[in-house]
Amino acid sequence: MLRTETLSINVGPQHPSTHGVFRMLLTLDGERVVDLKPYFGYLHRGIEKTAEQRTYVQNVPFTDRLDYICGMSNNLAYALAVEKLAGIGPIPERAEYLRVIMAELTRVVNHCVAIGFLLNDLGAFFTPVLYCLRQREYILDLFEMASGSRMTPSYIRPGGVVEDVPPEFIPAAKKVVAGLPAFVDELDQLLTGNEILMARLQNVGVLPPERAIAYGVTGPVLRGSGVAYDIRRAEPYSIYDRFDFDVITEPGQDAYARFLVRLGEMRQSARILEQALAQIPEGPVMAEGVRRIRPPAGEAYARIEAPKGELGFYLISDGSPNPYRFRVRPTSLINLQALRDMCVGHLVADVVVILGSIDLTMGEVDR
Amino acid sequence: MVGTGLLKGLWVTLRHVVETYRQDWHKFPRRYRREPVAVQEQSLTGLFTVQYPEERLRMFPRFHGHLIQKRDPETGLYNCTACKACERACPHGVISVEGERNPDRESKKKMLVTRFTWDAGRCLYCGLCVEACPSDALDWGQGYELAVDRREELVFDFERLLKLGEHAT
Repeated sequence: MLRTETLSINVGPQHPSTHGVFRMLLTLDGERVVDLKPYFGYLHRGIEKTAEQRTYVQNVPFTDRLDYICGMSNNLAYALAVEKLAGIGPIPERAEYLRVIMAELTRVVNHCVAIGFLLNDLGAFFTPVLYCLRQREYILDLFEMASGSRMTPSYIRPGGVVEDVPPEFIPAAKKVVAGLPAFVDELDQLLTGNEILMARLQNVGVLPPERAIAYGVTGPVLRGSGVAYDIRRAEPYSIYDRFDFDVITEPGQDAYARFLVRLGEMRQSARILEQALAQIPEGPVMAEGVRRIRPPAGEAYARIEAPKGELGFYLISDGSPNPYRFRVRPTSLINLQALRDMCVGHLVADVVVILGSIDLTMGEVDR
Repeated sequence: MVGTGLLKGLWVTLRHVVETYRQDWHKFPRRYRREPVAVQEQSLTGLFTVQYPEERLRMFPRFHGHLIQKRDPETGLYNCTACKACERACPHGVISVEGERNPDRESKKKMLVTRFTWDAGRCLYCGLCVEACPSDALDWGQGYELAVDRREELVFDFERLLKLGEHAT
Protein backbone atom coordinates (compact mmCIF):
# COMPACT_ATOMS: atom_id res chain seq x y z
CA MET A 1 0.00 0.00 0.00
CA LEU A 2 1.52 3.32 -1.13
CA ARG A 3 1.24 6.09 1.44
CA THR A 4 1.31 9.68 0.16
CA GLU A 5 1.65 12.91 2.10
CA THR A 6 0.83 16.45 1.18
CA LEU A 7 3.65 18.94 0.87
CA SER A 8 3.52 22.62 1.78
CA ILE A 9 5.61 25.07 -0.18
CA ASN A 10 5.86 28.84 -0.27
CA VAL A 11 5.73 30.66 -3.59
CA GLY A 12 7.12 34.11 -2.93
CA PRO A 13 7.44 36.67 -1.45
CA GLN A 14 10.30 37.19 -3.88
CA HIS A 15 9.23 35.19 -6.88
CA PRO A 16 9.34 36.41 -10.45
CA SER A 17 5.80 35.33 -11.22
CA THR A 18 3.96 36.76 -8.22
CA HIS A 19 3.78 40.29 -9.71
CA GLY A 20 5.28 42.01 -6.72
CA VAL A 21 5.92 40.99 -3.14
CA PHE A 22 3.25 38.40 -2.54
CA ARG A 23 3.38 34.93 -0.98
CA MET A 24 1.20 31.92 -1.60
CA LEU A 25 1.32 28.92 0.72
CA LEU A 26 0.53 25.95 -1.50
CA THR A 27 -0.42 22.55 -0.17
CA LEU A 28 0.38 19.99 -2.82
CA ASP A 29 -0.52 16.41 -3.39
CA GLY A 30 2.09 15.46 -5.93
CA GLU A 31 1.68 18.14 -8.57
CA ARG A 32 -1.95 18.94 -7.71
CA VAL A 33 -2.88 21.93 -5.59
CA VAL A 34 -4.97 20.88 -2.60
CA ASP A 35 -5.06 24.21 -0.83
CA LEU A 36 -3.79 27.74 -1.34
CA LYS A 37 -3.43 30.55 1.13
CA PRO A 38 -2.44 34.00 -0.08
CA TYR A 39 -0.33 36.11 2.26
CA PHE A 40 0.08 39.77 1.48
CA GLY A 41 1.01 42.98 3.25
CA TYR A 42 4.65 43.08 2.24
CA LEU A 43 4.12 46.35 0.38
CA HIS A 44 1.91 48.00 2.98
CA ARG A 45 2.78 51.69 3.16
CA GLY A 46 -0.16 52.92 5.22
CA ILE A 47 -1.42 55.21 2.49
CA GLU A 48 -4.98 55.29 3.87
CA LYS A 49 -3.80 56.44 7.29
CA THR A 50 -1.18 58.84 5.94
CA ALA A 51 -3.82 60.46 3.77
CA GLU A 52 -5.70 61.58 6.87
CA GLN A 53 -2.88 64.00 7.66
CA ARG A 54 -2.73 65.52 4.16
CA THR A 55 -5.03 67.95 2.42
CA TYR A 56 -7.32 66.80 -0.35
CA VAL A 57 -5.00 67.99 -3.12
CA GLN A 58 -1.89 66.64 -1.41
CA ASN A 59 -3.45 63.17 -1.50
CA VAL A 60 -3.56 63.08 -5.30
CA PRO A 61 0.09 61.91 -5.63
CA PHE A 62 -0.63 59.10 -3.18
CA THR A 63 -3.40 57.75 -5.38
CA ASP A 64 -0.89 57.38 -8.23
CA ARG A 65 1.00 54.93 -6.12
CA LEU A 66 -1.89 52.58 -5.37
CA ASP A 67 -2.09 50.84 -8.71
CA TYR A 68 1.10 52.14 -10.23
CA ILE A 69 0.36 50.75 -13.69
CA CYS A 70 -2.70 52.97 -14.11
CA GLY A 71 -2.11 56.19 -12.22
CA MET A 72 -4.55 58.24 -14.28
CA SER A 73 -7.53 56.02 -13.43
CA ASN A 74 -6.76 56.27 -9.73
CA ASN A 75 -6.57 60.06 -10.02
CA LEU A 76 -9.94 60.09 -11.75
CA ALA A 77 -11.67 57.98 -9.11
CA TYR A 78 -10.27 60.10 -6.30
CA ALA A 79 -11.15 63.35 -8.06
CA LEU A 80 -14.74 62.18 -8.55
CA ALA A 81 -14.99 61.29 -4.86
CA VAL A 82 -13.68 64.69 -3.73
CA GLU A 83 -15.98 66.50 -6.16
CA LYS A 84 -18.95 64.59 -4.81
CA LEU A 85 -17.92 65.33 -1.24
CA ALA A 86 -17.19 69.02 -1.73
CA GLY A 87 -19.91 69.68 -4.29
CA ILE A 88 -17.45 70.96 -6.89
CA GLY A 89 -18.90 71.41 -10.31
CA PRO A 90 -19.76 71.58 -13.07
CA ILE A 91 -16.48 70.36 -14.52
CA PRO A 92 -15.54 72.14 -17.78
CA GLU A 93 -16.23 70.17 -20.95
CA ARG A 94 -12.62 70.05 -22.10
CA ALA A 95 -11.52 68.68 -18.75
CA GLU A 96 -14.15 65.94 -18.94
CA TYR A 97 -12.92 64.92 -22.37
CA LEU A 98 -9.30 64.96 -21.26
CA ARG A 99 -10.24 62.77 -18.31
CA VAL A 100 -11.90 60.21 -20.56
CA ILE A 101 -8.95 60.26 -22.97
CA MET A 102 -6.47 59.70 -20.17
CA ALA A 103 -8.56 57.00 -18.51
CA GLU A 104 -8.96 55.07 -21.74
CA LEU A 105 -5.28 55.37 -22.61
CA THR A 106 -4.59 53.98 -19.16
CA ARG A 107 -6.84 51.03 -19.91
CA VAL A 108 -4.78 50.24 -23.01
CA VAL A 109 -1.57 50.54 -20.97
CA ASN A 110 -2.89 48.21 -18.31
CA HIS A 111 -4.11 45.57 -20.72
CA CYS A 112 -0.81 45.71 -22.63
CA VAL A 113 1.03 45.01 -19.38
CA ALA A 114 -1.47 42.34 -18.29
CA ILE A 115 -1.29 40.41 -21.56
CA GLY A 116 2.46 40.81 -21.85
CA PHE A 117 3.24 39.53 -18.40
CA LEU A 118 0.66 36.76 -18.61
CA LEU A 119 2.61 35.45 -21.59
CA ASN A 120 5.83 35.90 -19.64
CA ASP A 121 4.37 33.72 -16.90
CA LEU A 122 3.52 31.12 -19.52
CA GLY A 123 7.15 30.94 -20.54
CA ALA A 124 6.95 32.94 -23.76
CA PHE A 125 9.91 34.91 -22.55
CA PHE A 126 9.96 38.56 -23.54
CA THR A 127 8.77 38.54 -27.14
CA PRO A 128 5.08 39.30 -26.46
CA VAL A 129 5.87 41.48 -23.46
CA LEU A 130 8.33 43.49 -25.51
CA TYR A 131 5.77 44.21 -28.21
CA CYS A 132 3.25 45.20 -25.54
CA LEU A 133 5.66 47.42 -23.66
CA ARG A 134 6.62 49.18 -26.87
CA GLN A 135 2.99 50.15 -27.44
CA ARG A 136 2.75 51.19 -23.80
CA GLU A 137 5.76 53.41 -24.30
CA TYR A 138 3.99 55.49 -26.94
CA ILE A 139 1.13 56.11 -24.51
CA LEU A 140 3.45 56.88 -21.61
CA ASP A 141 5.07 59.48 -23.86
CA LEU A 142 1.67 61.11 -24.15
CA PHE A 143 1.29 61.08 -20.37
CA GLU A 144 4.71 62.63 -19.99
CA MET A 145 3.88 65.29 -22.55
CA ALA A 146 0.73 66.24 -20.62
CA SER A 147 1.78 65.85 -17.00
CA GLY A 148 5.56 65.54 -16.85
CA SER A 149 5.62 62.02 -15.44
CA ARG A 150 5.20 58.66 -17.05
CA MET A 151 3.69 56.50 -14.36
CA THR A 152 2.79 58.83 -11.50
CA PRO A 153 1.12 61.68 -13.37
CA SER A 154 -1.09 63.32 -10.65
CA TYR A 155 -2.76 64.91 -13.66
CA ILE A 156 -6.47 64.63 -12.91
CA ARG A 157 -7.30 66.79 -9.91
CA PRO A 158 -10.48 67.58 -8.02
CA GLY A 159 -12.19 70.18 -10.22
CA GLY A 160 -10.70 69.24 -13.57
CA VAL A 161 -7.18 68.55 -14.74
CA VAL A 162 -4.08 70.31 -13.54
CA GLU A 163 -3.28 72.16 -16.76
CA ASP A 164 -4.29 72.04 -20.39
CA VAL A 165 -2.43 69.63 -22.64
CA PRO A 166 0.22 71.17 -24.91
CA PRO A 167 -0.98 71.91 -28.46
CA GLU A 168 0.99 69.00 -29.94
CA PHE A 169 -0.79 66.52 -27.67
CA ILE A 170 -4.02 66.02 -29.64
CA PRO A 171 -2.30 65.27 -33.00
CA ALA A 172 0.16 62.95 -31.24
CA ALA A 173 -2.66 61.17 -29.43
CA LYS A 174 -4.61 60.78 -32.67
CA LYS A 175 -1.58 59.16 -34.24
CA VAL A 176 -1.14 56.72 -31.37
CA VAL A 177 -4.84 55.86 -31.37
CA ALA A 178 -4.83 55.33 -35.14
CA GLY A 179 -2.04 52.80 -34.66
CA LEU A 180 -3.84 50.93 -31.87
CA PRO A 181 -6.13 48.65 -33.92
CA ALA A 182 -3.17 47.48 -36.01
CA PHE A 183 -1.26 46.72 -32.82
CA VAL A 184 -4.14 44.72 -31.37
CA ASP A 185 -4.49 42.84 -34.66
CA GLU A 186 -0.82 41.98 -34.59
CA LEU A 187 -1.09 40.76 -31.00
CA ASP A 188 -4.12 38.77 -32.05
CA GLN A 189 -2.20 37.20 -34.90
CA LEU A 190 0.77 36.49 -32.68
CA LEU A 191 -1.11 34.94 -29.79
CA THR A 192 -4.79 34.12 -30.09
CA GLY A 193 -4.62 31.07 -32.31
CA ASN A 194 -1.43 29.75 -30.77
CA GLU A 195 -1.86 26.08 -29.86
CA ILE A 196 0.46 26.23 -26.85
CA LEU A 197 -1.34 29.24 -25.46
CA MET A 198 -4.71 27.57 -25.91
CA ALA A 199 -3.51 24.37 -24.27
CA ARG A 200 -2.18 26.27 -21.30
CA LEU A 201 -5.07 28.73 -20.84
CA GLN A 202 -8.26 26.96 -21.82
CA ASN A 203 -10.13 25.29 -18.93
CA VAL A 204 -7.58 26.70 -16.49
CA GLY A 205 -8.79 28.81 -13.60
CA VAL A 206 -12.47 28.35 -14.29
CA LEU A 207 -14.62 30.81 -12.35
CA PRO A 208 -18.37 30.28 -12.82
CA PRO A 209 -20.40 33.50 -12.99
CA GLU A 210 -22.26 32.88 -9.74
CA ARG A 211 -18.98 32.36 -7.85
CA ALA A 212 -17.52 35.47 -9.46
CA ILE A 213 -20.48 37.58 -8.37
CA ALA A 214 -20.38 36.06 -4.88
CA TYR A 215 -16.73 37.05 -4.52
CA GLY A 216 -17.41 40.57 -5.75
CA VAL A 217 -14.93 40.16 -8.59
CA THR A 218 -15.10 42.93 -11.20
CA GLY A 219 -13.43 43.97 -14.40
CA PRO A 220 -12.09 41.65 -17.12
CA VAL A 221 -12.19 38.70 -14.71
CA LEU A 222 -15.95 39.09 -14.24
CA ARG A 223 -16.60 39.76 -17.91
CA GLY A 224 -14.47 36.74 -18.78
CA SER A 225 -17.01 34.72 -16.79
CA GLY A 226 -19.75 35.97 -19.08
CA VAL A 227 -21.29 38.68 -16.89
CA ALA A 228 -21.85 41.91 -18.85
CA TYR A 229 -21.18 44.33 -16.01
CA ASP A 230 -19.27 47.51 -16.70
CA ILE A 231 -19.66 50.61 -14.52
CA ARG A 232 -19.18 52.79 -17.59
CA ARG A 233 -22.55 51.36 -18.70
CA ALA A 234 -24.21 50.41 -15.42
CA GLU A 235 -23.66 53.78 -13.74
CA PRO A 236 -22.08 56.19 -16.22
CA TYR A 237 -19.69 58.67 -14.60
CA SER A 238 -17.95 61.63 -16.21
CA ILE A 239 -19.20 61.70 -19.84
CA TYR A 240 -19.13 58.02 -20.70
CA ASP A 241 -22.82 58.07 -21.65
CA ARG A 242 -21.90 60.03 -24.80
CA PHE A 243 -19.68 57.40 -26.34
CA ASP A 244 -20.53 54.41 -28.41
CA PHE A 245 -18.77 51.24 -27.26
CA ASP A 246 -19.52 47.60 -26.52
CA VAL A 247 -19.10 45.77 -23.24
CA ILE A 248 -16.93 42.78 -24.11
CA THR A 249 -17.88 39.46 -22.55
CA GLU A 250 -16.65 35.95 -23.21
CA PRO A 251 -18.54 32.82 -22.19
CA GLY A 252 -15.38 30.79 -21.52
CA GLN A 253 -15.02 31.52 -17.75
CA ASP A 254 -11.34 30.53 -17.94
CA ALA A 255 -8.00 32.28 -18.27
CA TYR A 256 -8.30 32.25 -22.06
CA ALA A 257 -11.60 34.13 -21.87
CA ARG A 258 -9.99 36.80 -19.70
CA PHE A 259 -7.19 37.15 -22.23
CA LEU A 260 -9.73 37.59 -25.03
CA VAL A 261 -11.71 40.15 -23.01
CA ARG A 262 -8.57 42.23 -22.55
CA LEU A 263 -7.82 42.14 -26.27
CA GLY A 264 -11.40 43.17 -27.05
CA GLU A 265 -11.37 45.97 -24.50
CA MET A 266 -8.28 47.46 -26.11
CA ARG A 267 -10.23 47.67 -29.38
CA GLN A 268 -13.19 49.28 -27.60
CA SER A 269 -10.88 51.78 -25.88
CA ALA A 270 -9.52 52.73 -29.28
CA ARG A 271 -13.11 53.35 -30.41
CA ILE A 272 -13.87 55.59 -27.42
CA LEU A 273 -10.58 57.43 -27.91
CA GLU A 274 -11.32 58.10 -31.57
CA GLN A 275 -14.68 59.62 -30.68
CA ALA A 276 -13.32 61.63 -27.77
CA LEU A 277 -10.37 63.01 -29.75
CA ALA A 278 -12.68 64.03 -32.59
CA GLN A 279 -15.19 65.78 -30.31
CA ILE A 280 -12.92 67.48 -27.76
CA PRO A 281 -13.88 71.18 -27.43
CA GLU A 282 -11.71 74.15 -26.51
CA GLY A 283 -12.11 75.91 -23.19
CA PRO A 284 -10.96 75.99 -19.58
CA VAL A 285 -9.81 72.83 -17.85
CA MET A 286 -10.39 73.68 -14.20
CA ALA A 287 -13.67 74.48 -12.45
CA GLU A 288 -13.99 77.92 -10.87
CA GLY A 289 -12.82 78.51 -7.32
CA VAL A 290 -11.19 75.24 -6.25
CA ARG A 291 -7.99 76.64 -4.79
CA ARG A 292 -8.61 75.51 -1.21
CA ILE A 293 -10.80 72.45 -0.85
CA ARG A 294 -12.62 72.36 2.50
CA PRO A 295 -15.69 70.13 2.11
CA PRO A 296 -18.61 70.28 4.55
CA ALA A 297 -18.94 67.42 7.02
CA GLY A 298 -20.28 64.34 5.31
CA GLU A 299 -19.27 61.32 3.33
CA ALA A 300 -19.02 60.32 -0.30
CA TYR A 301 -18.26 57.23 -2.33
CA ALA A 302 -17.35 57.43 -5.99
CA ARG A 303 -16.45 54.51 -8.21
CA ILE A 304 -15.16 54.06 -11.71
CA GLU A 305 -14.46 51.20 -14.05
CA ALA A 306 -10.70 51.11 -13.66
CA PRO A 307 -8.82 48.83 -16.07
CA LYS A 308 -8.75 46.06 -13.47
CA GLY A 309 -12.33 46.48 -12.27
CA GLU A 310 -14.31 48.62 -9.88
CA LEU A 311 -12.15 51.17 -8.11
CA GLY A 312 -13.83 53.24 -5.44
CA PHE A 313 -12.85 55.91 -2.98
CA TYR A 314 -14.80 56.43 0.23
CA LEU A 315 -14.12 59.72 1.95
CA ILE A 316 -15.47 61.13 5.20
CA SER A 317 -15.03 64.81 5.95
CA ASP A 318 -15.34 66.50 9.32
CA GLY A 319 -15.18 69.97 7.81
CA SER A 320 -11.40 70.33 8.10
CA PRO A 321 -8.99 70.59 5.13
CA ASN A 322 -7.94 66.96 5.66
CA PRO A 323 -10.14 63.90 5.14
CA TYR A 324 -11.31 62.29 8.36
CA ARG A 325 -11.30 58.88 6.71
CA PHE A 326 -9.79 57.86 3.41
CA ARG A 327 -10.69 54.42 2.24
CA VAL A 328 -9.92 52.72 -1.05
CA ARG A 329 -11.99 49.93 -2.51
CA PRO A 330 -9.09 48.22 -4.23
CA THR A 331 -9.76 46.20 -7.33
CA SER A 332 -6.83 43.83 -7.09
CA LEU A 333 -7.44 42.82 -3.47
CA ILE A 334 -11.03 41.80 -4.12
CA ASN A 335 -10.19 40.01 -7.37
CA LEU A 336 -7.48 38.15 -5.45
CA GLN A 337 -10.10 36.54 -3.19
CA ALA A 338 -11.17 34.24 -6.01
CA LEU A 339 -7.64 32.86 -6.42
CA ARG A 340 -8.08 29.81 -4.16
CA ASP A 341 -11.29 28.74 -5.86
CA MET A 342 -9.68 28.94 -9.26
CA CYS A 343 -6.46 27.13 -8.32
CA VAL A 344 -7.58 24.11 -6.29
CA GLY A 345 -7.33 20.97 -8.38
CA HIS A 346 -4.92 22.43 -10.92
CA LEU A 347 -1.21 21.79 -11.36
CA VAL A 348 1.45 24.02 -9.76
CA ALA A 349 2.42 25.44 -13.13
CA ASP A 350 -1.18 26.60 -13.65
CA VAL A 351 -1.21 28.61 -10.41
CA VAL A 352 1.24 31.04 -11.92
CA VAL A 353 -0.90 31.40 -15.04
CA ILE A 354 -4.09 31.91 -13.05
CA LEU A 355 -2.43 34.59 -10.95
CA GLY A 356 -1.30 36.28 -14.14
CA SER A 357 -4.77 36.10 -15.64
CA ILE A 358 -6.30 37.91 -12.65
CA ASP A 359 -3.84 40.78 -13.23
CA LEU A 360 -2.81 42.04 -9.81
CA THR A 361 -0.81 45.02 -8.74
CA MET A 362 0.52 44.55 -5.24
CA GLY A 363 0.66 48.28 -4.65
CA GLU A 364 -3.10 48.27 -4.70
CA VAL A 365 -3.57 45.07 -2.70
CA ASP A 366 -1.47 46.27 0.24
CA ARG A 367 -1.80 50.05 -0.11
CA MET B 1 -5.17 22.55 -38.57
CA VAL B 2 -2.78 22.07 -35.69
CA GLY B 3 0.25 24.30 -35.96
CA THR B 4 -1.18 27.15 -38.04
CA GLY B 5 -1.46 29.38 -34.97
CA LEU B 6 2.18 28.77 -34.14
CA LEU B 7 3.30 29.50 -37.69
CA LYS B 8 1.28 32.71 -37.83
CA GLY B 9 2.91 33.89 -34.59
CA LEU B 10 6.38 32.96 -35.78
CA TRP B 11 5.80 34.92 -38.98
CA VAL B 12 5.11 38.06 -36.89
CA THR B 13 8.32 37.62 -34.91
CA LEU B 14 10.36 36.94 -38.02
CA ARG B 15 9.03 40.09 -39.66
CA HIS B 16 10.05 42.11 -36.61
CA VAL B 17 13.56 40.64 -36.52
CA VAL B 18 14.17 41.45 -40.19
CA GLU B 19 12.74 44.97 -39.85
CA THR B 20 14.88 45.69 -36.81
CA TYR B 21 18.13 44.82 -38.55
CA ARG B 22 17.09 46.68 -41.68
CA GLN B 23 16.34 49.88 -39.75
CA ASP B 24 19.48 49.61 -37.64
CA TRP B 25 21.45 49.53 -40.88
CA HIS B 26 19.64 52.63 -42.15
CA LYS B 27 20.40 54.58 -38.99
CA PHE B 28 23.89 53.21 -38.62
CA PRO B 29 26.26 56.17 -38.27
CA ARG B 30 23.69 58.51 -36.68
CA ARG B 31 22.84 56.10 -33.92
CA TYR B 32 26.22 56.18 -32.30
CA ARG B 33 26.76 59.93 -32.05
CA ARG B 34 26.21 61.76 -28.78
CA GLU B 35 23.26 63.96 -29.48
CA PRO B 36 19.68 64.03 -28.22
CA VAL B 37 17.23 62.34 -30.54
CA ALA B 38 13.62 63.37 -30.62
CA VAL B 39 10.94 60.98 -29.49
CA GLN B 40 10.63 58.35 -32.16
CA GLU B 41 7.99 58.11 -34.80
CA GLN B 42 5.34 55.51 -34.25
CA SER B 43 5.69 52.44 -36.39
CA LEU B 44 4.61 48.91 -35.80
CA THR B 45 7.83 47.45 -37.08
CA GLY B 46 11.46 48.04 -36.52
CA LEU B 47 13.48 49.77 -33.89
CA PHE B 48 12.33 51.38 -30.72
CA THR B 49 15.36 51.18 -28.45
CA VAL B 50 17.63 54.15 -27.86
CA GLN B 51 21.37 53.51 -27.74
CA TYR B 52 21.90 55.29 -24.43
CA PRO B 53 24.33 56.99 -23.71
CA GLU B 54 25.26 57.56 -27.37
CA GLU B 55 21.68 58.40 -28.25
CA ARG B 56 19.60 60.44 -25.82
CA LEU B 57 15.94 61.25 -25.82
CA ARG B 58 14.90 64.87 -25.87
CA MET B 59 12.69 65.35 -22.85
CA PHE B 60 9.29 67.00 -23.01
CA PRO B 61 9.14 70.60 -21.75
CA ARG B 62 6.98 69.54 -18.79
CA PHE B 63 9.26 66.66 -17.79
CA HIS B 64 9.72 66.38 -14.03
CA GLY B 65 13.49 65.99 -13.80
CA HIS B 66 14.71 67.94 -10.82
CA LEU B 67 13.79 71.24 -9.25
CA ILE B 68 15.52 74.46 -10.26
CA GLN B 69 15.53 77.97 -8.83
CA LYS B 70 15.17 80.70 -11.43
CA ARG B 71 16.78 84.13 -11.57
CA ASP B 72 15.38 87.29 -13.05
CA PRO B 73 17.18 87.56 -16.42
CA GLU B 74 17.44 91.39 -16.18
CA THR B 75 18.65 91.99 -12.64
CA GLY B 76 20.27 88.62 -12.00
CA LEU B 77 18.54 88.41 -8.61
CA TYR B 78 16.84 85.20 -7.67
CA ASN B 79 13.06 85.17 -7.86
CA CYS B 80 12.45 83.30 -4.62
CA THR B 81 10.85 85.42 -1.90
CA ALA B 82 10.96 82.78 0.87
CA CYS B 83 7.16 82.81 1.08
CA LYS B 84 7.10 79.12 2.01
CA ALA B 85 4.21 78.32 -0.35
CA CYS B 86 6.17 75.33 -1.71
CA GLU B 87 6.95 74.11 1.79
CA ARG B 88 3.26 74.14 2.69
CA ALA B 89 2.17 72.52 -0.58
CA CYS B 90 4.56 69.59 -0.37
CA PRO B 91 2.83 66.36 0.70
CA HIS B 92 6.00 64.86 2.15
CA GLY B 93 7.74 67.90 3.58
CA VAL B 94 10.87 67.50 1.47
CA ILE B 95 11.29 71.24 0.97
CA SER B 96 12.27 73.50 3.83
CA VAL B 97 12.68 77.25 3.46
CA GLU B 98 13.99 79.89 5.83
CA GLY B 99 14.20 83.55 5.02
CA GLU B 100 14.94 86.88 6.67
CA ARG B 101 14.18 90.54 5.97
CA ASN B 102 16.78 92.20 3.79
CA PRO B 103 18.78 94.65 5.98
CA ASP B 104 19.46 96.75 2.87
CA ARG B 105 16.21 98.78 2.76
CA GLU B 106 16.89 100.32 -0.67
CA SER B 107 17.22 96.95 -2.39
CA LYS B 108 14.39 95.58 -4.55
CA LYS B 109 14.59 92.26 -2.71
CA LYS B 110 12.58 92.50 0.47
CA MET B 111 13.27 88.95 1.67
CA LEU B 112 16.52 86.99 1.50
CA VAL B 113 16.63 83.21 1.46
CA THR B 114 18.89 82.00 4.26
CA ARG B 115 18.25 78.30 3.81
CA PHE B 116 16.45 76.31 1.12
CA THR B 117 16.79 72.55 0.91
CA TRP B 118 15.15 70.00 -1.30
CA ASP B 119 15.54 66.33 -0.42
CA ALA B 120 15.45 64.58 -3.80
CA GLY B 121 15.60 61.16 -2.18
CA ARG B 122 12.22 61.55 -0.52
CA CYS B 123 10.56 63.65 -3.23
CA LEU B 124 7.40 62.36 -4.91
CA TYR B 125 8.02 64.44 -8.06
CA CYS B 126 4.36 65.43 -8.06
CA GLY B 127 4.92 69.10 -8.89
CA LEU B 128 2.60 70.60 -6.27
CA CYS B 129 5.42 72.92 -5.13
CA VAL B 130 5.96 74.27 -8.64
CA GLU B 131 2.21 74.87 -9.01
CA ALA B 132 2.11 76.66 -5.67
CA CYS B 133 5.00 79.03 -6.40
CA PRO B 134 3.53 82.54 -6.82
CA SER B 135 6.72 84.28 -7.97
CA ASP B 136 7.91 82.04 -10.84
CA ALA B 137 10.96 80.96 -8.90
CA LEU B 138 10.63 77.20 -8.57
CA ASP B 139 10.44 75.17 -11.75
CA TRP B 140 11.29 71.80 -13.22
CA GLY B 141 14.60 71.11 -14.92
CA GLN B 142 15.11 68.61 -17.68
CA GLY B 143 18.02 66.69 -16.20
CA TYR B 144 17.60 63.03 -15.40
CA GLU B 145 21.09 61.79 -14.59
CA LEU B 146 20.83 62.46 -10.87
CA ALA B 147 22.60 59.46 -9.39
CA VAL B 148 25.00 60.29 -6.57
CA ASP B 149 27.39 58.29 -4.43
CA ARG B 150 26.18 59.28 -0.99
CA ARG B 151 22.73 59.88 0.40
CA GLU B 152 23.63 63.33 1.78
CA GLU B 153 24.27 64.56 -1.76
CA LEU B 154 20.59 64.04 -2.54
CA VAL B 155 19.75 67.04 -0.38
CA PHE B 156 20.03 70.01 -2.75
CA ASP B 157 20.72 73.43 -1.22
CA PHE B 158 19.82 76.83 -2.65
CA GLU B 159 23.10 77.48 -4.49
CA ARG B 160 22.97 74.11 -6.19
CA LEU B 161 19.39 74.70 -7.34
CA LEU B 162 20.29 78.14 -8.68
CA LYS B 163 23.18 76.61 -10.58
CA LEU B 164 20.88 73.97 -12.04
CA GLY B 165 18.56 76.80 -13.06
CA GLU B 166 21.37 78.52 -14.97
CA HIS B 167 22.10 75.30 -16.81
CA ALA B 168 18.45 74.86 -17.69
CA THR B 169 18.01 78.24 -19.37
